[in-house]
Amino acid sequence: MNVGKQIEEGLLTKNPVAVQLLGLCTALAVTTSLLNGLGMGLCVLVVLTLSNGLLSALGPYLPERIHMVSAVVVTASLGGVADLIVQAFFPDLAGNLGLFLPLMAVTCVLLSGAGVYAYENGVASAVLEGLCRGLGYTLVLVLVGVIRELLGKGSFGEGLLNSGRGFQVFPAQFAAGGLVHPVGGFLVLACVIAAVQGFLARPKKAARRKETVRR
Amino acid sequence: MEKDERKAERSRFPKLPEFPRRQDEPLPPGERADIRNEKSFLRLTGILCLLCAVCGLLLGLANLLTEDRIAENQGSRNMGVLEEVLPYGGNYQEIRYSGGDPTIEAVYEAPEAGWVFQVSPAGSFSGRLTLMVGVDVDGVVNGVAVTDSGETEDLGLRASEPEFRNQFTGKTAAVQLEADGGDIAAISGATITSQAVCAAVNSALAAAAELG
Repeated sequence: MNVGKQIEEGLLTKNPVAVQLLGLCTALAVTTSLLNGLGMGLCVLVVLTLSNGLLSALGPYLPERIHMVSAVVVTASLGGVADLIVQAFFPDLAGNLGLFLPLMAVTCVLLSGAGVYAYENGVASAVLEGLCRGLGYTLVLVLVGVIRELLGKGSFGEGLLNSGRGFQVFPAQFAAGGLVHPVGGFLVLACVIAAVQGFLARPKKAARRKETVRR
Repeated sequence: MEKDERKAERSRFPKLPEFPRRQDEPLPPGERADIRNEKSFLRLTGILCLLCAVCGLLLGLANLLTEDRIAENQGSRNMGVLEEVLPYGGNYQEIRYSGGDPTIEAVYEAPEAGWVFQVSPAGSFSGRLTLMVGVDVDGVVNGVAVTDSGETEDLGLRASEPEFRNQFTGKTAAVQLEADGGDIAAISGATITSQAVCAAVNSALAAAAELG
């Protein structure tokens, strides 16, 4: 179990959204604000962690033939429970997420790779993997959500910070309203993915340059 | 006689090759090679059934625990909208609407004050548009609110802004957009949505006339 490597892979080098391009549907649709991005991200984080742990613990008792079906059943059930809990205790968030809240189950199945990692590794490692991948997902969603909310509405943390009112960074009439629309989601997410890819490509170049200098 | 014929028929086709078994890979312990092997099949089905039953139980339990709260949330959200379009102070009674207008989905009566109509007009721009229209006993529109819509933000969704909604307050006869000869200013860029809202208000006014 290599904790550092797992964290680095989940958050950056194998980030589920920015590098593996998984769960894009929800990543594009719900990220209109910090609240929505964070809410969706945390839901996925919790469901992913629980389902990974559970599948890893159940793994030895399940015949290999039904591994994939079991992963889908367990993850989707946990997603369903999370959906109900959000609807009951965070009705505003549930209203914002709308259709994409029940879609969380699908996102979780995708992000966990139908439990492949969980079945092949111990419980602790699987839980950590779920946690890291969930965090990586949340990170991208929060980033995209903050950018779209800030540039699209001129506000920050509406519905979450400053007792629900959020902070108006600049007047809404100067904001690029298009960024809150679906097209803005594509644009911002593309920029974030490009930035991450650029960042991942950069250190290699630097290392190569150092090598040539040494020579 | 018949059997022989069938045998002859069958023998005319070449025998299909046996499905190649992978000999190199050892099967996982406890597994049989063939899914049709009864014992293995029953075991797989049994385990999967058990897993599904447990998951179903979990979901059912979660539903049982959250059901009341979700209904309460929905109710309080609806109550807020009802108060907005026709202030009454609670105690709205849902009554059955027996008129012929299919776009009217529900009617809430505030005795001696008026009615609130939940209307989903035909011809909204995208998806379902649901509005609450409050009409008082004299047949005057008191307020309009959008409760559910698939309209585009900044265009059709501006139908939920007060500048547009308040135009309907005080109307007694059928409303029309300025473009159609009426006096309702449409939302620029969202004429279709504006027309749908007008249609909803007209439906509500007609239904109120029937009831009152």
